[in-house]
Amino acid sequence: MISEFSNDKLVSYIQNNFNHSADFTARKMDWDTQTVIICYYSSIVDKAELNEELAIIKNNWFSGNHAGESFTTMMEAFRMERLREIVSLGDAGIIFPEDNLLMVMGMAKTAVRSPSEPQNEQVIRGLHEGFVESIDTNIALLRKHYNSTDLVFKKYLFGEEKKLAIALAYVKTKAEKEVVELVEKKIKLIEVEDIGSNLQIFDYIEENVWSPFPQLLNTERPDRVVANLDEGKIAIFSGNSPTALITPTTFISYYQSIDDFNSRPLIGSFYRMIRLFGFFTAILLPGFYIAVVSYHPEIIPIELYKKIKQVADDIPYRPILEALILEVMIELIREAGIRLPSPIGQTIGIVGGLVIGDAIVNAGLVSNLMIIVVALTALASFVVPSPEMNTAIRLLRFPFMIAASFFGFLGLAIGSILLYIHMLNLSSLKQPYLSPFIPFQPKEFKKVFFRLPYEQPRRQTDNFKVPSDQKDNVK
Amino acid sequence: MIKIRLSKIQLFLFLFIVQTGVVFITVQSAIIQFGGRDAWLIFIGASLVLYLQLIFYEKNYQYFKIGKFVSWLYELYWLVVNILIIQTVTFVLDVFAFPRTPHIVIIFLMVIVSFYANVSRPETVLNLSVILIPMIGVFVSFLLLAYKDLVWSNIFPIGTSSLKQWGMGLLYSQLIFSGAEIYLFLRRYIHKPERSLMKPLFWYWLIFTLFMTFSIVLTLLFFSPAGIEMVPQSILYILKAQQVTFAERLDLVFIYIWLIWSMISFALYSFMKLFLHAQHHRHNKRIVTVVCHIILLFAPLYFVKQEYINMPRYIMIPSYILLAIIIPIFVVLFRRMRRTKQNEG
Repeated sequence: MISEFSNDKLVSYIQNNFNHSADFTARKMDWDTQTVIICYYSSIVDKAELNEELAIIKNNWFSGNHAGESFTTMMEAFRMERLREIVSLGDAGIIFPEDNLLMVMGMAKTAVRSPSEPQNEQVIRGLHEGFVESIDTNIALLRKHYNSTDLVFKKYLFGEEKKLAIALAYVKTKAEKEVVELVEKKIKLIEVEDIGSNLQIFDYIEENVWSPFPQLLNTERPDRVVANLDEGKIAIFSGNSPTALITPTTFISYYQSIDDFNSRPLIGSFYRMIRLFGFFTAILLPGFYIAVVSYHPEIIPIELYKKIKQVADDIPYRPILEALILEVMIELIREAGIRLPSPIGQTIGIVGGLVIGDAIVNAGLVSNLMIIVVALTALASFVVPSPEMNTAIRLLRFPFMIAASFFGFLGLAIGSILLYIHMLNLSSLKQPYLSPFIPFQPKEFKKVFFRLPYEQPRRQTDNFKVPSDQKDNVK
Repeated sequence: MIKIRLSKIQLFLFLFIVQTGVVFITVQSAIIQFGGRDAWLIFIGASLVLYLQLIFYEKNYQYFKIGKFVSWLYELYWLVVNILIIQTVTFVLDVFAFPRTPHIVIIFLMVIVSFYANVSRPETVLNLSVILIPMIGVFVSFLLLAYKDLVWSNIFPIGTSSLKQWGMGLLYSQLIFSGAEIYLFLRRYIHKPERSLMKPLFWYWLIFTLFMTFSIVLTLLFFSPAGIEMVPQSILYILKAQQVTFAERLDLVFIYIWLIWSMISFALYSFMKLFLHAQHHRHNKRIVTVVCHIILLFAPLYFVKQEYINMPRYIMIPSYILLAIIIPIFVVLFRRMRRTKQNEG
């Protein structure tokens, strides 16, 4: 019982529990006939609001409302664990030692940036706002765009010491109950002490962690989440992450962009097909080139073969080594571009791409044809609107290059079947990854390639007939 | 016990790939060689028999219940079919692509695909064939490029083949039908098995017959009857002869499409073998899969020799007639009679 402590000893006891942190405040305050102790982290509490709230509560208290509760406060029995929990979440606590009570005051205020458009998911047409590093703001953003009572949020708080809040969002009338239950079950298995970044939740929810293919779609765009919720999917928000994880997903989910839906059907369909073509190009093109140069030069037209032969003869390395040099260089440039501030990153891209590329060809290390192949491959991989799928396909081209260098087209054929079997084995929360191709769903199949019109009038409005009620006036 | 459930589309696609897999580029020459100018008519005649056979399967599949001994026969048959598929593919790759690569490497690559598919979920194997749908379309489209080189008089006049040629042609046509017996084993696992499949069965048979007749007619129109003996993989030679601007050797691309086709057909036969084994034995599925694939890795090495080049014809035809026609008829009649007796009793 804290009533047994003197006030000074109690403050000291609380300070000990908060490890005498510099930003922790435990201050005695006179409150009517007793002394109370107010506790908070000054770094994450809105002090102005705290003062205002204290004034309101005191006013209530002295006017006879003994509990002094308001819309943002709650009175409960004092427990040290509870005090640590609320204070670490940014709330303030007022301890009433004589009554052994704790008043919890929701005062959290952390620095949150404005919901600007995510840098890694830019669109031409669509919302230019994105999620931020606050789970409550993200929920508010979603509510703003999906204003229906069918949109349900479920919030969980994990961890003893390190707190992690996870929120599920789904549309009750559209999401399958079994899938929601499955996600909840998987989320409850999370051991928060293991999580360094909230994107590591992937490992708890995905069914095949060792696959290069992502089984959760992550996005920072509210409009993308809304579109997916409308399809009966579930969005997961976690901690202070600006990223929503969407599940269950299929392979095709990663190739759909908001731009498809916001542009004209023909244009949207064309670019979607270009992106799907990009998948095969990104994975197979370097392997195909290596197979042709190393094993099957007779497949290409003789004029092209002569040129390739002429160029390849001047290169001291085998095509696989040539390709690996360039691919590793591209990856280095990309990695350097990400790590450096954006103006320098762009410069690095130009220096790496043009200067080093040109120098490497002049030095005779790689052929200019290989530069074309690797550059096309890089372009094809970057058209995917999902960074996770992008990295997956960039990784996958390496085994295909190696297979092609050993067995030519046979290696590519075997590799393609193994990849296909792997994709057939994948599922995202029991949803087949290759759906709607396999199992075949004819109604959904056409949507893979075509952005169909939302509303197609069956009959054109007839502008050339006189409306029936005006007929009499026409002579 | 492997639990499966498949749709009628999955069933027919499974059958189509199993039946057309390896034979699509290899069987036309044999039928024309033995059937003569009327080979395509002979094939259509043989296909009518296949239709009757499929109707028989559809009407009686529920009576087709076999014991351990007969199931071993089917397992052995499918194992042999797989060995012959490997043998044929290895021969073709020897000629067209990898004359110096050790056979064990090629065989290992084929076996690893089947192994991976068969240690996966049963749904994975049942859906494997889907990838071939666009590929087969491309294959057929490029074959049509040969229209300029076709000599229409090659198939006329009809009725020139002798009775012996008709007999041999009908016999050799059975090479194409191998795999039809799988219908008896998978039919009961489709959704709502009580519904009759007579209509889809007819469409399947029609598509299959047209597809294979197309390949035989094309070969007949392209090659002179005298020259066909020299061309064991006639379809590949037709593709090789095509002039397109973007590729010098079109056949090389299609040989790999055919390779994928054959490998999937190989994996499907392996699946059937393991599936049937699991129905009658309680062995560990993984161990059985490993053992089966070790056999498939080493057994074909013995048969990939020039002297065994015609072995598929001699083994497949009698085995097919025994296991796809005689045994099913016998088992069905036996079960029916037993049931009638039980009802009377």
